[in-house]
Amino acid sequence: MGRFLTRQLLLAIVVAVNVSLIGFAMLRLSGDLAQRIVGPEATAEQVETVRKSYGLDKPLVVQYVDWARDALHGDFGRSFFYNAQVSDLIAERLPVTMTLGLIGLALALLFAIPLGILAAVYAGSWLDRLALTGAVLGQAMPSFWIGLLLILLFGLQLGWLPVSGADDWQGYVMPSIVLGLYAAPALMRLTRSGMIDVLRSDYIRTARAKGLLPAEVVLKHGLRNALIPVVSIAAVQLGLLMGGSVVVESVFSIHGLGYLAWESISRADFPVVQSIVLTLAIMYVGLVFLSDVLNALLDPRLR
Amino acid sequence: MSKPATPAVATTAPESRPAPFRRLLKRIVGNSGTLVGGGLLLLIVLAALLGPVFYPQDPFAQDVANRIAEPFWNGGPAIHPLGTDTLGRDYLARLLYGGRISLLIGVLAVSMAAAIGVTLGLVAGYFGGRVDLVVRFLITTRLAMPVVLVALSVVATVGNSLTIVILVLGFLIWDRFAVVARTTAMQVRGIDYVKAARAVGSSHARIIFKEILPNISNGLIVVATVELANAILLEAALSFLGLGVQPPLPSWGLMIAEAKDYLFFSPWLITLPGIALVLLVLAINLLGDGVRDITAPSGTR
Amino acid sequence: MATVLDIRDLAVDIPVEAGTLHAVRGISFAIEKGRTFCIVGESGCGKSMTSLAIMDLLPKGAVRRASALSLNGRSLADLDNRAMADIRGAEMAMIFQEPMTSLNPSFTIGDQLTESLRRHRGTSRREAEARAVSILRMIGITAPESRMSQYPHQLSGGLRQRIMIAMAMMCDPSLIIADEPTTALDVTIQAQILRLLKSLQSEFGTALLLITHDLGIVSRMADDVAVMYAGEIVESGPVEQIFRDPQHPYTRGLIACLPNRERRQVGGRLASIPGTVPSLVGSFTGCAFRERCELAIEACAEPVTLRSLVPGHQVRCIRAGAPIEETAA
Repeated sequence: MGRFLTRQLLLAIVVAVNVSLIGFAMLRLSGDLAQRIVGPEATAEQVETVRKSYGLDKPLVVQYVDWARDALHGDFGRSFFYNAQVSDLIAERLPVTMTLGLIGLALALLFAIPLGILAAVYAGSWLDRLALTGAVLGQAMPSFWIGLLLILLFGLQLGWLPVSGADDWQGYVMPSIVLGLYAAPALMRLTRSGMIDVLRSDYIRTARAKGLLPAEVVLKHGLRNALIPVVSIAAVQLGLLMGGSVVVESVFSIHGLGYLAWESISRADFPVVQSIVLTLAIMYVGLVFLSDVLNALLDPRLR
Repeated sequence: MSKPATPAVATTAPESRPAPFRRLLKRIVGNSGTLVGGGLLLLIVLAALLGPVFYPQDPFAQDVANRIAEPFWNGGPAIHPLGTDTLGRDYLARLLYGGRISLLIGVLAVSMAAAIGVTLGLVAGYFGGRVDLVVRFLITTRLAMPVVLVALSVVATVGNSLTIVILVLGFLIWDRFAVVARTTAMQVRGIDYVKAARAVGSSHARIIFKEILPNISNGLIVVATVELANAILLEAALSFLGLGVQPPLPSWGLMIAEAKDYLFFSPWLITLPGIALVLLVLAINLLGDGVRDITAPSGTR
Repeated sequence: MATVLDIRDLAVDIPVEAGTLHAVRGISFAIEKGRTFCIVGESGCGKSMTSLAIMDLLPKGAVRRASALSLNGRSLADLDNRAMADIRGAEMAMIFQEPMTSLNPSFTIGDQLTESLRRHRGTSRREAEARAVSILRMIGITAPESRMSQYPHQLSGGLRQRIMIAMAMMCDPSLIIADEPTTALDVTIQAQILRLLKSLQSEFGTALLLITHDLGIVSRMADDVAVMYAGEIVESGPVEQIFRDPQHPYTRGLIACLPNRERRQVGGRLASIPGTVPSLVGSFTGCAFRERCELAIEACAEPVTLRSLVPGHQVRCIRAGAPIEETAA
């Protein structure tokens, strides 16, 4: 297992570096940064001064190495718009997005796993068909639209929940539900198909031949094996939820990472955008690596 | 391998089966998802393509006297059956035209993604080794980039047009094609007739395109439906966030964004384009699931 | 002697795309305490379905019917699922063909061994583990204590099959059903496993129902044998009787294929008998073997019943007993 995980870790690091390169290239290709920092009214002299002081006159390779060195020390540069370090901005917004993602994922799992198990055990029944129909419907609904419908129903018509912001726990309810609905169908279908495969396997027949009761057979011998792929996909889903946070956060005006990214994109605040993309990419490869570790822990054959 | 010490028994003969085509037809008819999905998709495509031809209203003309006209079930004017938007443009006309945009972007982006992904996947799966390593690295890198954010930033940087949106989406959703093509190519590579083709001296390109590609088409069709749905939803999200299709072009995502502030008093402005999106994506997904079930070997689902 | 398993008119129907597959078509037999009963036949003849039907482990959708199905005098035919689960693993246990996949990869050997004892007898974990270790030692597994904490993938196929046997022995059942227990194993391991089954059986007086396609195994293991063809028993009786004086043309064909015998055929495969097994989907009458049988006459299309030639030896063939020339030798 050690070798496998080491290789995965190396791959994750290389990927993170690559994404940082892409982000860096995007930033430099977006136009004259010095001009943008000082603003359109600045004189040519001022632009040159800024270019020097930001090191933008150096060769691109040097610029990247400088940037990467700083980034490794947690220094992602300064925002063009906010008078703040990018790292501070991200540190301030990340917890909100992470909380949302985690709650959303938890909701999705809470819903998807039992339903997936039931659908697999009663495969072909009305319950199974209902679950599958629900899943395919859920996958067809755009998150921002569900968000708006929830706002309409629970925020505007019933007045139970705040329509925007996440100042207290109530603000998290609707966005988490939207994220949960986004992640649940895939997890449900994966649980179901994994469980169906497992229930067909020889060791399930062995367990039944021992006289174990159906609940023991399904929950002990079935679930452990059926959940191995679900757990690893769940970690990846969390990465996707966070990557997709921009949509949900903009619908609910939640000041998380996604919202910051969206604002920064519209303001051409590229250091912030670049760093958020990098942050999310690193989180994603980190989560994929975590899922490999979880897989290895759950499956004794990989240990 | 352990063989029984006493070869006592002949293998059972296969039972007679109906002809493959009839069985396929029977499976299609027996698979309600495929029928519903296919029928719905056909309807939507026809509506999007032919609707604007038969429906007289112009999706761009502003009927200033009739802004946010109610749809017919709320007693709106008969001339605008589904009402009008905030600028007084006929909503049905815009929905029909928006369908064209969704389908256009979806189909083109997916074609592009398929071209990229299948090429990479085939090459990786066929040659293996270092080539495979590089492609796997590309796939992982692509997966690590948050799609919506990257698409938004690129569109914001490069500028905004239908072409850009299609290109950006095409460059961002090729990964699944690559994964499926790679896996299948790896499996097919070992099969006898491919080995035979190698042995008689066929070129790599010939083997890849003549021998391997036809064999992975089933899997690719399924991926194509998944990604088509994905591309349509992504386009809607980008347009909703203001960085996809630009006004005055109607896109369902953009229509929802434009009507966001009228959510409470005129909810149909939000629900109608949303329902259109759901129906289209649902139809594509049902069809894709159906194709997967039908082409899967019997007994496996 | 006490009858452990008594089966009459067992039938298994499986719904398939084209109709109903009559996998088992009314078979009857009984097994006495301490005896080994072999069912022999080629794949698809219904022998595995028979074993699964007895255990009530048939695949979803399959229907089991029987006019009698009893274990130690108790009818299993109309037990509910719960009562049946109480019997499985306790009074009768099963050993499967594939030791590589029949153990759960996610749990230790110890966990899987002790499960049935804890479930059926409510034994504490420690006591169950002690019994598991003693059974492992008895069946000749070295360092049984350390095996307990290993996972299936760490063991060889032969070892896994021994674990399966130990698992079946945990509750000291009166019947063990072994479905092709050695088919997946190397020839050398096969012999060990068979010896082990035999010795356990003589030690505990367990009845053994052994399902196999291999007449060599039958001749080594069986007290009584039933030959199955197309879902029916075509011939049954004491093993020496069947081998000495096979009556059914199919049995003769099988025996003719045995190597190292006088009647050995070069390249001895039954495939030398022309024709194929009839489809068991839909209704079927008459002798199922007649298409492949050299002795078939028109009357073979009529329904055939099992009849006794000598006491204990039954055959389902109207031509049996008639003078038969040696099959192409």
